[in-house]
Amino acid sequence: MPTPANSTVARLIGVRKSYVEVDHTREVLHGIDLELRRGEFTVLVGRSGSGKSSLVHLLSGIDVPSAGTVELFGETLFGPDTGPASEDRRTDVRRRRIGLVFQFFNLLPTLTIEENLLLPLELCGKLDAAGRKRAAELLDAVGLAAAARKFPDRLSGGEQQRAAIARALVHDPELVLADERSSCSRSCCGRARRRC
Amino acid sequence: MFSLLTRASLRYLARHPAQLVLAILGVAVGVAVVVGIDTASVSARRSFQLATSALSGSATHVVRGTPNIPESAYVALALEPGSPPAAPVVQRALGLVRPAKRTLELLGVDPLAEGPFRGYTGSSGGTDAAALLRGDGAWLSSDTAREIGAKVGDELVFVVGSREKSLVLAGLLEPQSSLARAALADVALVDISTAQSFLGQRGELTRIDLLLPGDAGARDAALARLKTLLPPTCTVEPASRRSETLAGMTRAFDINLRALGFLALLVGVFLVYNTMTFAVVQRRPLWGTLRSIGATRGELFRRVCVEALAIGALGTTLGLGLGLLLAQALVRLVTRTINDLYYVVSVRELAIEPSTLVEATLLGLGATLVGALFPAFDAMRTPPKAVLDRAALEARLRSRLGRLALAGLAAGALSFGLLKVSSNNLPLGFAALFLMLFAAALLVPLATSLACRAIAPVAGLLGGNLGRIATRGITSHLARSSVAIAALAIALSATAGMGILVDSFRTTVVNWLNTTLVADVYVSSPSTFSNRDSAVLSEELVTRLTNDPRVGGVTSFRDGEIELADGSRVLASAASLHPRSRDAYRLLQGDPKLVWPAFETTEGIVASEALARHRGLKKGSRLEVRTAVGVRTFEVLGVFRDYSSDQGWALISKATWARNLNDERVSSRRETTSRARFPACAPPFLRAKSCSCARATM
Repeated sequence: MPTPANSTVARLIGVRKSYVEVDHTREVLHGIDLELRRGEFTVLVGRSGSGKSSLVHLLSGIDVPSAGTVELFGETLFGPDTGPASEDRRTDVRRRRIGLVFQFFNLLPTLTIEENLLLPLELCGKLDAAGRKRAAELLDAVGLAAAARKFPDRLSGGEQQRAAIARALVHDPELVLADERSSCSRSCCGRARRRC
Repeated sequence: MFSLLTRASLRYLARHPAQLVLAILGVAVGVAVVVGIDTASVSARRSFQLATSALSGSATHVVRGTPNIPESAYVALALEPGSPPAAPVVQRALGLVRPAKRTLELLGVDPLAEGPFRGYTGSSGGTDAAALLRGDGAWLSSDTAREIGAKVGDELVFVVGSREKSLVLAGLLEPQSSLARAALADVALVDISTAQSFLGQRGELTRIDLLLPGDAGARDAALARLKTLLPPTCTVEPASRRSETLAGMTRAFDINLRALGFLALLVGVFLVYNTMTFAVVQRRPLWGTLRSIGATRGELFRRVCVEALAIGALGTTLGLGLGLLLAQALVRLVTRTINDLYYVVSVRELAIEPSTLVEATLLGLGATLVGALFPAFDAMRTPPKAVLDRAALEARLRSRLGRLALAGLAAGALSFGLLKVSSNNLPLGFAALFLMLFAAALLVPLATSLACRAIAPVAGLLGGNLGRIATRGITSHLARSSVAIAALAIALSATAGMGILVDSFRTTVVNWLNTTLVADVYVSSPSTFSNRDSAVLSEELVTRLTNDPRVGGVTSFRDGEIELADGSRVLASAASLHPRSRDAYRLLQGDPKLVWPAFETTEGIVASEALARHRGLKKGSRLEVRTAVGVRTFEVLGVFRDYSSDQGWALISKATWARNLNDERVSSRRETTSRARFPACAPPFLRAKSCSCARATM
């Protein structure tokens, strides 16, 4: 069920994240509190290795924290008492309600750009005429309508980035998470959101 | 048509053709070997069963004797009011030497008694009336006559015992059904009296076919009445038992062949595993992307399995076709081996059994799935964050090296344990060997890691950074490199193992032959088939050779069979051993000083090692044997080493044979021998004395 306007989409309370390395444990998030509301545009800035990508992974349910609470759309995905929600549950939340733009775009090399956009719809079970129309509109919005039948390796880095953004938006997610290197994400996302 | 995920998978495979072809070939070769071997041995078995059942006709039971049936037994049956329909048969496999070399089954039947049994014997083409009148006429199927290039009136020359004897092609049979065609393919049909005189079996029958009632009560009553009519050397058994017994002899041979097929498939599994692991590892970012955008673990698992199944389906299809081609070549080798070691069979066409194809298909697909299972689980179980990390798999494998090696050691120990207890159990022995291969494969990652660590400094010294990169590359991609090394090691070990096995066996047999062949000259009848001589030497030749003052000593044998109380038969040789020949038998059980005197004077046998193993015999065991005077108990006096027959055989003294088996038969053949040994004699004079059909070997 979509969240109402101005409602909290994501909430982190006292979130810590540590990684076990060869001979020691390295903590990259030291008790983060964060609240994201519907309609907000939030930017995280930090030096390399400060934990930005880790935070994105926690917000998307890809990873679980070492401690603290992660709530998405009112549902606790990780809590001190409950532990992590099941892998399948977190996957379901991610596939239906979250759009992800990765550091390295991560388009599927063996699918065309159009097929890459249709993939989230197929995973959600929304691959119908309306879904195809929406994918076409998004491709047009990011200026890749002519490249729809091309494979990702035939596109430039910028074009791949725009295709990845369109893919993140195609199933109309309530939360879009874009990792760094999406240098033009702001303008592209804005343009795509305005036109769709 | 296909889902986007399936499309992505198929395109991935298409973009890596070399990898795809290698995996497909791995499965195809494995499946081809399984299908080829299975089809070849099934074809040989089927041909034998078809020929046997067709030659038995509609007979339900068969009377057999030890070794033959006196004709009087048939007369008694025929004269008994209310006795079941019976047909006398004289049958023996003979080598045809002219007009073409071939093994034919000489089948002598009584046309008047044949009616209810073998309908096809009545259908004939042209007839040579003169041959019928002379009593030396034989009938062949028109197909067989065409194949050997004979026409009606032509002479058919066979080797019978130590002589060449001829019949005349008196007519051609035109089989009306495929069964009859198969039955007559390797048969020379003659009148029963012609067969008896031709084979020197006057007054003797090979068997009597019977048609007993289907009703169990009536059948049992008929069997009980038959027992009172037949002499004690005769037994009545279901018609199918003989073919089952003979086919059972090839069981070990079949298992060995099938194990070779499975070994080929195992190498294929490793290739598939390697390919799929590579494909999974190579696409870790892709799995990570899919998991991140919402693909479930089950969907990823199915993806990898679908890809493996696509490879398996292509490989299996190719393998089925290749297997049938391979079977064409293998069937000749398998048939030759069966003819040499077990029984006479001629395979005219491949018996392609649906069950073989289904089994091979399931094996091909199953093996591919097994090979893909670990990579699929790996792709499925790894959380999305770790999937995005290329090194996660390698890190996990490195952390499991110790555990894998321990599992390998445990599997190795279990394998050794199984080998210890499987001395007489072939399937268990193969299971132990496959377990040993698996154990070795589990030890490969640790061994590879340690070996690379050990040679890294040397590689660095010799090749600088490139040398270091090479050795570290192996350890940093251990998940793939160790599997490739394991597959190569298994293939190499199988090749080396087979080579060592064959070499060791050859050396052992050579040593055994050096011990066994103590005579200077060996004389036997030429035999076109089988490792045992069913033919006999002429009495005249043996008498002349035995009485020659230049011959230092003679050991003679008569090869035959003895029937045990349970109805099963054992190969036997009745021997009159010269004292020097006794040294040829290296006794594994029993003291020579006690065994050989007892052999000549008591009711005992000396068993070959193979016979002792098959029957669970040891020195002092007892065998219940059917003899002319009823069931007698024979003591196993000793066990000797022997490699001449995998089924094993019993050595009996001629005196014991004469005392306990058909007296008339033994007395008539007292001096006839199938083999004779001459410890000291001059070859030229022997050659002069041998007739054209005796073979003298030094």
